Amino acid sequence: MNTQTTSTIAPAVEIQGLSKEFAGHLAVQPLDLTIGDNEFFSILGPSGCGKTTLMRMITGFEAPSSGRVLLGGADVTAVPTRNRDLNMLFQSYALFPHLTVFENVAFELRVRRVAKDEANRRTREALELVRLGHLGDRKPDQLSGGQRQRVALARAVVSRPKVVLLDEPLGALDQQLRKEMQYELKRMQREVGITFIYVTHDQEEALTMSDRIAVMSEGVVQQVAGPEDIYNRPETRFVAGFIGSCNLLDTTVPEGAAGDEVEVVVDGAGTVRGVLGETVTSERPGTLLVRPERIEVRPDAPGAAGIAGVVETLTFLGEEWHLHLLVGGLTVKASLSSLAKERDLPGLSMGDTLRLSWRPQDARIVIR
Amino acid sequence: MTSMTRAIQLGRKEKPKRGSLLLLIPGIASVVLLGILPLFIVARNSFAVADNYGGITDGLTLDNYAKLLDPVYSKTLLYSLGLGLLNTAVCLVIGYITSYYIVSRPAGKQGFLLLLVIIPFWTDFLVRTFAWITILGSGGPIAGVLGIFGIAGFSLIPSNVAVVLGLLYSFLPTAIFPIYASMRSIDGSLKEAATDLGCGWWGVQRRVILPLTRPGLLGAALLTFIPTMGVFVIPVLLGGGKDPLVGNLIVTLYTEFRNQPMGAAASMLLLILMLISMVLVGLLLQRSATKGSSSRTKRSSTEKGA
Repeated sequence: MNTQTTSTIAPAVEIQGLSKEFAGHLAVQPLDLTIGDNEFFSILGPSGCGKTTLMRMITGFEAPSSGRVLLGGADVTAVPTRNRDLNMLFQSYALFPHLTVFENVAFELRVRRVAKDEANRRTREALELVRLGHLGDRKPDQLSGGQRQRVALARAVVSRPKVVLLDEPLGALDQQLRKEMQYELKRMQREVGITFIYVTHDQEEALTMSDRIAVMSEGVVQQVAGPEDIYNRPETRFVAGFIGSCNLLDTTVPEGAAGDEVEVVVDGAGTVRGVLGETVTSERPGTLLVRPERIEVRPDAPGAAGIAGVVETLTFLGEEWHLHLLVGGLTVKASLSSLAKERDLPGLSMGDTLRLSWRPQDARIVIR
Repeated sequence: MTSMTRAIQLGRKEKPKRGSLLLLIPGIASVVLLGILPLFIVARNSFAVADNYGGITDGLTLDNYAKLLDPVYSKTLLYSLGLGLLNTAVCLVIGYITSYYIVSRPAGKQGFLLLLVIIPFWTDFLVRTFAWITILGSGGPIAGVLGIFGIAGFSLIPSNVAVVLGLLYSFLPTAIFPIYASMRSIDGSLKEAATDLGCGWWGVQRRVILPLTRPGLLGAALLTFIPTMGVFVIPVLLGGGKDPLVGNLIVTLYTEFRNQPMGAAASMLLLILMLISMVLVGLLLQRSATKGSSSRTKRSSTEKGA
């Protein structure tokens, strides 16, 4: 359904104080979210974090317990799904088994009584977009998983809705196809210029494709930011731990601490430095977050700077090495490119002592 | 492990021996003795000539079938066909609605609801029919309620309305089962997808659920249509025997008229009708399976035109 009256300035989707309660349990806590026009926006979180419920409230399959959903500036909270200018790509693809690929894609245009010639033309275009123009006569059960997924996508975009919501669409595909489809999805989204809301538990998918990512946990949006910020500047312990690999070192943030080079004491490791995103008025428990690849490891030498750590495990992964180092009572993960390992630590073996250090801007301190 | 693979290979190589053919004898015997042989006798009798004492003389004639065209009999045939179609149509509609309701319940409750459908199905046919006499008759609850409002002497027994109700009640479970079975296998997200793509309730039914339930509906039609015509208890008990069905006709021809060849001919006619409707249903199912290829030719022609 294409409404011509929507203003171009309004964001594609605005969520205001939206929440959902199931039998006394808040599956989605009241949250606000603004998703821009033509944005590839991911909602990322583990299963049960409320991302699916949030998506179903946007589509209208679930009625929210509180709050509003705005589509292109218009409040659609009370508008039934079929009249919302959005489409969904289901995890199971939900292709109609009794219809051909062409009929599946043309489905919405026929329901909305688009003139036949126009409908056929647009259906062919959508099939071309997903590069399945030659398979229009097949039935869904004669297609491979990847092809089915493309048909579902063509069906979702054929009417040029304002928003397409994708519910873990790559989950059923094998690893190689999944990687291919990540780039394909991104390409198609740019080509059709439709806002994509991509729901996934796969951080790699989210990082690869998204303009912005909302990380959700236990019904709460933890952080909304671009992939690089989400990865490099996590704002919560959850975000750091969920995305990529990260050292989470518990510490205490002293009163009045603020700025880019805050010193904190980590038990066993000693005094370390990192960026504190906020000002704390009183002493608070915190966590120092530092990614393994941001930790520099050097051979131990008398008077060398950094924290001493003993190599506990040493794993070769091809392009890099993964190290587990025992620092005081803590295990710290560090990674080392194969090149750096050959150049700086050629004879490294378990039990060796190394010096660990990182630039203050590479570590984040968050309040727990 | 080697002994196991050898055993598997041996098992594969072994041809069915006389022992396994022996095991098939009870099955083959019962099919031949209880199914094919009686059917053959009935078929043979339908071409035979009746003697004056209710017996069968040899002979080969088409008279028995010709006599069935007599208005006395053909009226019964047409009435049966009409009632069969009516009962099938109503059973399909109510069966569809009932199945739709059951499928939409949580999985745990579906079993219980199906049980409610099955219990009357298990109850003796005659007992159920008598129950309807009580319900619709002069001493029944409907008459009682109407009596309170001063309408005395109500009774639907015997009447054609009672026959229709009785037939519907008897065949509803047989209609519900196949419809429920095919409806249950429909992925719930298809309904959501259709809604998402602009369908209202009716659109979802017409464009998605109904076509996907088609095999079940055709199966239900088959299980309802022909057996309805063969019913003979309901028209007698609930309808007073005024308007007999083919089933009644067969009973009458065999037992009252003592005309076995004509009874056999009527039975064969019912059998032929059943075969015809099975072929029809088969063709309809095939058509829905190959619907895609027919629309292909249609589309490629429009593409050429454009």
